[in-house]
Amino acid sequence: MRNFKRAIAVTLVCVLCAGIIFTGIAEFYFSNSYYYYQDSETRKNFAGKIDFLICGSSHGLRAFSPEILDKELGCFSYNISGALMTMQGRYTLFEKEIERNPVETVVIEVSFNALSRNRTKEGAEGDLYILARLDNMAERLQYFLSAMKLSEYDRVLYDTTNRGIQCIEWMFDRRKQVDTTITKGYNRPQGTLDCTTSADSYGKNFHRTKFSETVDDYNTGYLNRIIDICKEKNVRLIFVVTPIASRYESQHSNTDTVMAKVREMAANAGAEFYDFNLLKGKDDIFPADTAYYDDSHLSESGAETFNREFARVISAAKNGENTDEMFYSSYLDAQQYYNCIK
Amino acid sequence: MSITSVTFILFLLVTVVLYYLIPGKYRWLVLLASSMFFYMMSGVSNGIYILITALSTFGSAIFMQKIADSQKLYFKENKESLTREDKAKIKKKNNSKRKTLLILTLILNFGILCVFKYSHFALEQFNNAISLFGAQPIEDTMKFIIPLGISFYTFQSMGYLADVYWNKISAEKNFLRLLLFVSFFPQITQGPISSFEQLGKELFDVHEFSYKNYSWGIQRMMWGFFKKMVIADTLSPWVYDVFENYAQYSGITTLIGAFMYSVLIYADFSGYMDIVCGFCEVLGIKLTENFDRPYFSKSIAEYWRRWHISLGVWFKAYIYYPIAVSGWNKKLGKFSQKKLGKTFGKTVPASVALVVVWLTTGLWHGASMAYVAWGGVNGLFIILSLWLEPLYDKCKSKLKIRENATWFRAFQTIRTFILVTFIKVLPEVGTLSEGFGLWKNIFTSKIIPDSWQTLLPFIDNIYDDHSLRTINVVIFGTMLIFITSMIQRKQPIRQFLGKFPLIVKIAVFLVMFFLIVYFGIPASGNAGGFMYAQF
Amino acid sequence: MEELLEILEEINPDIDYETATALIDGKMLDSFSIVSLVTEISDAFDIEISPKYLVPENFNSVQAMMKMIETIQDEE
Repeated sequence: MRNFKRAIAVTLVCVLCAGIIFTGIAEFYFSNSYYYYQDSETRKNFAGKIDFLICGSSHGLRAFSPEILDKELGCFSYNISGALMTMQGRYTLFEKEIERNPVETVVIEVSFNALSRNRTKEGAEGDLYILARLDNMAERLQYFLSAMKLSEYDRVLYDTTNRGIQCIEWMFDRRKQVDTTITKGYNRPQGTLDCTTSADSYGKNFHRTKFSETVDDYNTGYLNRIIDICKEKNVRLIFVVTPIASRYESQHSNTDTVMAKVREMAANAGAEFYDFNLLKGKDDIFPADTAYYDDSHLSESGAETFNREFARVISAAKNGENTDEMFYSSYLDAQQYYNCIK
Repeated sequence: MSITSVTFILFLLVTVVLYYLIPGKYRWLVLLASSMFFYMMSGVSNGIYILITALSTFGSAIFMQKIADSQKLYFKENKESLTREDKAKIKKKNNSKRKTLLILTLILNFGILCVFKYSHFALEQFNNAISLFGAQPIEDTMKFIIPLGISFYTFQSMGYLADVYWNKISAEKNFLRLLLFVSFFPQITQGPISSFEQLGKELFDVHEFSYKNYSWGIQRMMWGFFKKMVIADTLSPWVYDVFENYAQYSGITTLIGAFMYSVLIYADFSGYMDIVCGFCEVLGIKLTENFDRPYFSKSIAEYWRRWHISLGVWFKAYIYYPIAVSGWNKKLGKFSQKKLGKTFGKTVPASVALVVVWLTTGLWHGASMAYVAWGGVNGLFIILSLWLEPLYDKCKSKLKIRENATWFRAFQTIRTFILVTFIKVLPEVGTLSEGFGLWKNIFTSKIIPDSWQTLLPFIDNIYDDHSLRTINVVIFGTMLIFITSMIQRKQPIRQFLGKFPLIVKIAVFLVMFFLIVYFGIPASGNAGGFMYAQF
Repeated sequence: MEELLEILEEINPDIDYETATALIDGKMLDSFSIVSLVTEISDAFDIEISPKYLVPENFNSVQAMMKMIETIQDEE
């Protein structure tokens, strides 16, 4: 028995020491805002002011710039989108912000994989970012326990430690921090990708593959919860699909089928739905060689244009104009007017 | 279940707790349940093969034992009435019965192993052969999922069966106990291969919890995780980059790649062994060692007595000796002594046995000609060194070289390490010709590196903080392995550490744990990629 | 005993077999020698040395070898 007690005692001491060290390192990570997504302080300070909320994944993160939208629409907007954000992450941040702000408009960015994305396959990265966006340890612990799988615990430990150490280093090396009070959730991408293609390549790849048509309950579950809160608060709900490179979209033969499901959700929610891939003149407005950062995300200049287009469309809709004329009715139609071949 | 995953650690924890909660006599049942659970996690459909092996081994051994026992009893009861000739006749009949059982079981189990491991290889060789006659090669449409640990548990079980056949041990009467011996999870994936005499005792004896076993076991496991995750998993992509792209790299880069491979494979394999042996130590079970500072060997023959020791022991006991002292080999020996003279002729039986051992060792390591060639090269060195030993001794005495001189031992060690590195790398690159290509590139590459990045092209962004740190930790880890090996010449590391106060040991533990988290988890792939890392 | 010593002298004349106690463990006899030894003994004494006897303890000294030979002969 004495052996055993000694073993337990020494083990506890080791675990305690390790716990203290790693918690200390994590504290440097969570209590700083060196990373663009560590905006909990900013959002706290804006509480009570936000009337326009944008909620999406990385597509939304790159597309919606509250700086521009505020000017165009005369609102006070915030973009809580995040890279690889899971639906649970979206819901968690959304619920917090809508509770403490007089939100009148909610924009939900959806893309071709919004409903099919599988948390198990995609892994923990998106949820890791959420952990750093929450306000305090209690919230983080709660989210950690509910979102992370047992097999991912080591990854969470590593990620927190890695970023914590990075933050400790940045304390001594003045890094240019992103001013989240100005960007308000938008993250400007570095660089542009020329998304034009040759006629040969375009023809070869046309409709050669499909997007996944799975509808994962995890995704629809959380999305519906967001919709329910919006209905309850009687906000203006807008579903938006951000532009992706035409050369990339045209490779897939079933985009209409996949987006139909999202349209259906929007219709059932009584929400507006705008798919900017169907925007008439899309490839003139978002030129394939300058508007994109990669095949499915907008570049800085592309985002600038997008925000203005988006503002124009939803203002027109608000004024009672018929916005249907601005868009093609299907991808099959729109593809005829794609102009990404050089 | 990956050995470096959270789920595996949890599994170990549960096993240990249950093991010590259950009263002593039944503890092996916990091990059996854990082993069955572990095996199921690798795919239930494959579980049938290990059961076939366990059942056939168990059954054959029991029958063999029955025959031997009843013979003994019969001889005892009829001591007076049986003549020598009678006894010899009965023995012969019984031996042939037992031999048949042995052969049938060997064919069944090695047959299963060969089908899974060597079907593609066999078809390839068959196609090569028939193409010489202009025939069309047969398409390879076989898709097998190799049952977990089949190379190890088959060898271990057949060793047990041979031991029963030779009356070295008596057959185990409890099937569940034999099943545990066959499927014991710490050793099923990579060994060490044990004999029933050795492992059986450890598995079924009652071990009381001891603080020393616990402490030493955990220390050993930490060391194993460090070697495997921080050193091996970091080196792995670098080494395989060199293996794939050596043609575009300089000779020195390729050479560095070869030496990294030596470090990698040692850190990976011995790290794995440390984890499983350390875990068993916590349970009070002693597993046989697989490594004895192999890179300090002074000859190839010695190297193979210190690297993957349990495999060498198995081959020696069950292939080398039976072949070396077999009847037909004896005849061959006598024949060669007549034809080739006494000294040379005497070496033939052992040499023949060695050739068989090394070709099969090569084949065991991999189903390709490259591995067979690799085995052959190792065997050649060993046979040659045995033949040339008298010559070496003469040279050494002529040159007045003292066997124990430090410089001479250092020379032998370094020479052996270089030789071992080159031989080891040969089958790992791909085909045999790719292996030779790598050797050639080391000596004949015209590319000269002009910067650190071109010297070490397998590391992305070498001037990054992150890359520099990783390189440093790998160098640190390698030096640590070297230093601990030097300490181990006199005493076990944990005994050495034991001399320091507890606080030092806790500090060492914390440093190791930190290094494993900070460098090991990303290297082992458990951290996943970071698509948005550049943010 | 005589016969055994003769065999050993032939295999390796440099060793003092009367006093040696670590022929195997001390690596005084190499692998070739051991194999020859086993074959010569089994011929000379007309016995079959089953692998179960091929352990260092049985070959470390002349005395051990004699004991092993006697045990095998008794069994037969």
